[in-house]
Amino acid sequence: MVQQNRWTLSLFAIPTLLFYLYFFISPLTNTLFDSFVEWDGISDKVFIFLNNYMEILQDPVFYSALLNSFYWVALVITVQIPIGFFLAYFLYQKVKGFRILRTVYFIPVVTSSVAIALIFSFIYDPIFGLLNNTLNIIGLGHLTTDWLANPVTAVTAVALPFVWNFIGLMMIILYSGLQTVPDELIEAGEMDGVNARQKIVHIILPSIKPVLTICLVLGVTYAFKQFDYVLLLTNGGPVHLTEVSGSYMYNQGFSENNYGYGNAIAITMMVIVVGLAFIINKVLKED
Amino acid sequence: MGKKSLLYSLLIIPVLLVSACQQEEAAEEGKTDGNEQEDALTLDVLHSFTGEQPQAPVIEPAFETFDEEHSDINLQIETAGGNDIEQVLRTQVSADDAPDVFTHWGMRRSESYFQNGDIPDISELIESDSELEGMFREGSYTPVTYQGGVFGLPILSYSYHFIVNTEMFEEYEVSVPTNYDELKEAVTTFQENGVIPFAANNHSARYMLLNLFSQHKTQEEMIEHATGEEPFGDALYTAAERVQELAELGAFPDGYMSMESAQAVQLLNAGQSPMYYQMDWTLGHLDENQMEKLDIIPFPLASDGLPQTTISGNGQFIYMSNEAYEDPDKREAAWELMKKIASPEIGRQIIEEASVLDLSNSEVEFDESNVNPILVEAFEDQQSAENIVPSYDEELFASEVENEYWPLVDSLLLGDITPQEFVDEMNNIIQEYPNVQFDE
Repeated sequence: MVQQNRWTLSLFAIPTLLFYLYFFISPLTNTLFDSFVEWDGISDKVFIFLNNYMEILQDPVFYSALLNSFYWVALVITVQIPIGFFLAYFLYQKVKGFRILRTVYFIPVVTSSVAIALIFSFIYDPIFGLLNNTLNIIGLGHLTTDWLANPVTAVTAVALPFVWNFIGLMMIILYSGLQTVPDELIEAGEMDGVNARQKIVHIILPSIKPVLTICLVLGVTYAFKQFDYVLLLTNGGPVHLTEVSGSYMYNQGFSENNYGYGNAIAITMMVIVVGLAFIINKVLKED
Repeated sequence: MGKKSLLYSLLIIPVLLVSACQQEEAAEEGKTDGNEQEDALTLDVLHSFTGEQPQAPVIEPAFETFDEEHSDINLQIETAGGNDIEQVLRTQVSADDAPDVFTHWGMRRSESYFQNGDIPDISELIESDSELEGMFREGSYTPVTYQGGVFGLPILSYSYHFIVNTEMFEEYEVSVPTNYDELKEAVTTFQENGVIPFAANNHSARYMLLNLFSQHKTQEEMIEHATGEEPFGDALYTAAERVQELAELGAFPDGYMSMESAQAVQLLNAGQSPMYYQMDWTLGHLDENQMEKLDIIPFPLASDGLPQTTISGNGQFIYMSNEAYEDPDKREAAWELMKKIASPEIGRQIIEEASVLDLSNSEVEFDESNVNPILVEAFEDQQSAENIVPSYDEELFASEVENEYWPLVDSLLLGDITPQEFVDEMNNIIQEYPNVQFDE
């Protein structure tokens, strides 16, 4: 009887399984296969085995793009998640109007990246932009620069819209995590006389570690996947200065019609992201 | 409750009846249309002239008018604005679902389609059609000529023009430059007065480099460099040195590396820059209130005695797919549509209505009183040029070279490489990817 039930249940799982195979596994297999070929999208595919990967290893632009991606990840860890946490904690205090504030903080997440990039391009414009004009008005004219082309500021300037875009998402995930912290634990801490910093560091953060892990994995994944802000603000330029691995992959595949190489970059990125996710899980679990 | 239900029913039933009758009528009409459409030959069309594209107000209606005028042909039109068409077309072709008729660039972005036979050689159609005789200006087919075959019809030309704001030159007591030394002097004076000398982005700077180089070259000599027959030498070195010097002098605005062409023109419109060097399609973006102050003049000569040079050629073409070519009925319909879009009439409308100087068609006649005055000046500038050469990246470089050439010029402008390194690197790239379109 139990055996028969298993077969019936398996039968019901088949449509979902087929759907998953067709829409998730098959594109991944395709990408993997295409990473071993040289292909411009029109001509016949030429199997070149590991040549694309060998080329990646010798490609200075890829390394510079990868370095920029890691910089984005660093911004996620040092800026996006901490701000998201403090906003979540602020809301968790049930301040007056916290429901409206929660919505307001979340608005950037549902705003189109094109609109956000447009806003930031107006802010950064070296001649007409809000940032340089404000600096001029407040007497800090010497600080004005071409934010998207200056080697010192360009990578950060392109990454900031992304950081801002997803702060709301981090906030909402961490906020839901904060709801699960038992009140008794906090009350016990307060009775023991912990101050606000101790409460956050020793009670709240350890309690929401699984949620923090999710935020970290999501942040790292998003940082590596991003290419739209780069594409919209600088297209990776000047001279690949602001290129990240996602935009480099996109440009190789879709602008330079170098699909095999683009797929090889995609697989390399996937391996790096899976590796990072594994490390994050391992480290936070061990803690 | 019962009364309410009755009232709602009385309201809803007539509405349902009316809408049902309307649907029946629509279905009847649909049947009639369907019968007509059944006999019509369907052509799938893909073009990029939509949305904000300056030629869209002319080309989009042209396709629609053709569709309306030909009851035996049904056009299924798909659009992908600007550069997006490249990916849409590539996806459709790789899925064996190429559109029957489509617009695209010349050799630089269509080479693989010519090589793979996705776009057929239409030399025979061109030669056998007397209507096309002398219709296009000389050299119009060059970007679609590949190893002895001709693959498309030219629909849009491009040209670069040098514009000066004479009022600003007078205000700062600078003479309008006719050679490089005067240009350098003008840049320095404007810089010292806090004026951004050029309303330019990195495309403008790249074309200044090309103009300074091509003043020393004929079209044939430029082809020899692109095919690798003759390596680049002193002429490119000097041009590279000069354009780098201009960048160092602060000739270009902050942010010019990431600036869009339409953004750069705003500096000229706002009276913040006195000089401008850009493609003709941007002329339509010039502020009409500034027109009186603006003059189109020849680009300054690298040294005295060189010919006044204009970079100009054909940038956009209309093609039919190989599948359409293989089917006699589709071939005939597609050919008719291609000729319509490439016709002098559409050329005239593009100049008069879209304010884009389309000179691909030599038979085009336009009424100067209907045209933006700056276009007339651009036309005269073109006519008076002693040396008309094509753009390397629009026409003569293999697509792989274009991918390397643009960032290389950016590196030169940023001072990351020396002029000599630029020349050496260009020779290496050409050696790796020579233009093979003229091989028989």
